[in-house]
Amino acid sequence: MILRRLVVNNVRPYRGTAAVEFATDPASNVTLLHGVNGAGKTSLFLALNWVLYGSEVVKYSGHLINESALNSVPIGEAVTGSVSLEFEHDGEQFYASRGVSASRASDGDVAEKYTQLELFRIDHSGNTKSEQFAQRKISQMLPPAIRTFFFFDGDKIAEFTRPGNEQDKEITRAVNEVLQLDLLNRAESHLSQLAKAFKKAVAEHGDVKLKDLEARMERLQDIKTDLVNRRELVQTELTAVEKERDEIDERFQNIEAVAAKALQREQLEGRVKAELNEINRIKRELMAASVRGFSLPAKSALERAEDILDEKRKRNQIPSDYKDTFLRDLLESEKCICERPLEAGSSAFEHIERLLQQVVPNSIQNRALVLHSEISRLVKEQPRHQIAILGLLKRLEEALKALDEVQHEKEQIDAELAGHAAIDIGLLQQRRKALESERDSHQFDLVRVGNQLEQNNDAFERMEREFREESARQKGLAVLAGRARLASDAEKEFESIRERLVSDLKGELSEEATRIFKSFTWKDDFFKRIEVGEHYLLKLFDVGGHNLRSVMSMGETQLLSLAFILSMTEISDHVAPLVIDTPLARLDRTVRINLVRALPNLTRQLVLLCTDSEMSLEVKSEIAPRVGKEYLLTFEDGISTIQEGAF
Amino acid sequence: MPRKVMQRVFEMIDEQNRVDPNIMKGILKVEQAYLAQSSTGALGEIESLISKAIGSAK
Repeated sequence: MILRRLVVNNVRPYRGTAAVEFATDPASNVTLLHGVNGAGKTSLFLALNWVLYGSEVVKYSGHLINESALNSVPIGEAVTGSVSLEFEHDGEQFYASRGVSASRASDGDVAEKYTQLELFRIDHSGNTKSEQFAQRKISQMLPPAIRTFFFFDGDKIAEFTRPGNEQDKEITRAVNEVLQLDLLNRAESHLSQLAKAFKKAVAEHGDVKLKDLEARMERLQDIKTDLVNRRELVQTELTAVEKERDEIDERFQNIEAVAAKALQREQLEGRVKAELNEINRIKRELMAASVRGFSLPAKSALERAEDILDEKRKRNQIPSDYKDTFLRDLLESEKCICERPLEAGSSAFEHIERLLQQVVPNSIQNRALVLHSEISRLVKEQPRHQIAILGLLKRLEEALKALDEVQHEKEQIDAELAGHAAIDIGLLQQRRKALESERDSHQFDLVRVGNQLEQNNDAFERMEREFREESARQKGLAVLAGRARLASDAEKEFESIRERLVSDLKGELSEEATRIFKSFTWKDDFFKRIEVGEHYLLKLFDVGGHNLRSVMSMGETQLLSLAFILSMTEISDHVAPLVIDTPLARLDRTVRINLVRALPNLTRQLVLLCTDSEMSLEVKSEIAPRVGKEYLLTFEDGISTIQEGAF
Repeated sequence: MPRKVMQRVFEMIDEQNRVDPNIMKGILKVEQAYLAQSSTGALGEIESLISKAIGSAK
């Protein structure tokens, strides 16, 4: 089935007519419908399901009719809505349509009536011919039981392969229905009934010996049925035991994982301590450097002081050309160094007095010189201190950042470990041992029942030969005996073919599902294979051989479901569109990209109903080359509209 | 049964060849036709297929 055009009229949020043309070209086979939550995507998804399968199959809440259209007519008056779908199947064109009529009673209750499905075949000239048994025809094209494997809610698909007995039954049901393996069971059952009826007829027409043989064969047949049932039961119990044992093994793995996390937390605690020590050390160094570089805040004052002292030196004020003691000695001795007298009040005496006033005392001069040298040193050392302090501040910043990261990592592990209650490993080991013993017992039972079945079959065949020979001796019974033999042989042949087919299909499903799953996930090196086991029990193994099914994330479970469904459709030849509502919500960026890259190649036609947040620019650019049709759904004033174009 | 799977079954019938492949395939086609219609008439048609293959009972 290939979808061509869907038209909705007065259905759900769509007032009046709105249409979607689907992309049909294999090279650009993707139809993208996107819009915000509540824009009308799920309503289109519902309309598609409803037109094909009707309200008996498609479950929804509320009314189908558009509320606004209903409100536009007086109470008690009916308003109609419809959904029609044009599609192609096996090279032929079809048109399907279904209608709804609704009215509101005075008490506010809404009553809806639905029309039967109408299906028309359209020939090459465009002429239409109504199809009888329209619903049966649709069911032959895409059986309702397998509809949900082609039209599904991406958000809910994870339920399909989530571990649990009900889900495992769901997988078995899916395989039987998509691949229709029940057909072989039906053939076997019918042939068994016929063989029994033919033998009964032979016995009725034959003598006592034949009747006796027939009765004994019937008993053997009953024993066979009991043994087959017993084998099935033992096999089911064995599978359950193995499953529980696998779950215990997975819990052991979890325990190992928890222990590893605890160790990691311990190491992180060590790192937190080390980082704190480092921070304290840097702070101490910083304090010492601040003391050494105390002059940094007074940088400009020191430079000014140095300038002043430099100036004084340049003016020969420090040290001055004259020592104060020398001048005082001259004045006291009242004699020049040339021995001429220096009389008080003389101009020479007064000159020396003036000089003495200008001259700074020696002790102050010496201090000023020392101060000048000290200030110069401080000014020279300032850049070094500055570099040292800046370096320490940078180291402190880095250490604080590292501490923050380590603490964040530790908090995450704390949160992960918080959910793990203490597990009694001893009890688990005890239960595992008991399960191993049960498994051995079931396996022994299986062999025993198998041997009994073989012996029973041998006895049955011997008796059957005897029956044939005896009936052949009796006139008129040969034909009936021949029919009984043919029915019996055909039954065995189908049994053998079914066993071969199931075994082959499991292998192929495993291989195909593994290939598809790996194309979706970014951890393709981590996941090794998907295995379809007894009763189609799904297992996903990592490279270490651990079964991961019970520890998978929701996104991974969603991918496993999708991979398994696609592997079934790949193995069968169902040509059906894959219509996914909300396909990417639970997936992270890389997986979304992988998925939109892989999906168009895994199906003939792909219809994606996404929210804008699912379809980021990056994801969209990945799928863009395969998009044949694109629509934006918007919801305004209570009405949804569909707008075609690239958005 | 999907065509691809049915084809595999037919190949197995031809390979095993223990019972006339035409009868085996005929039985399957009958089953498929009736299964598609959810009808229970397959037993009678298979009986007549086998009767035809073995000949008249009288």
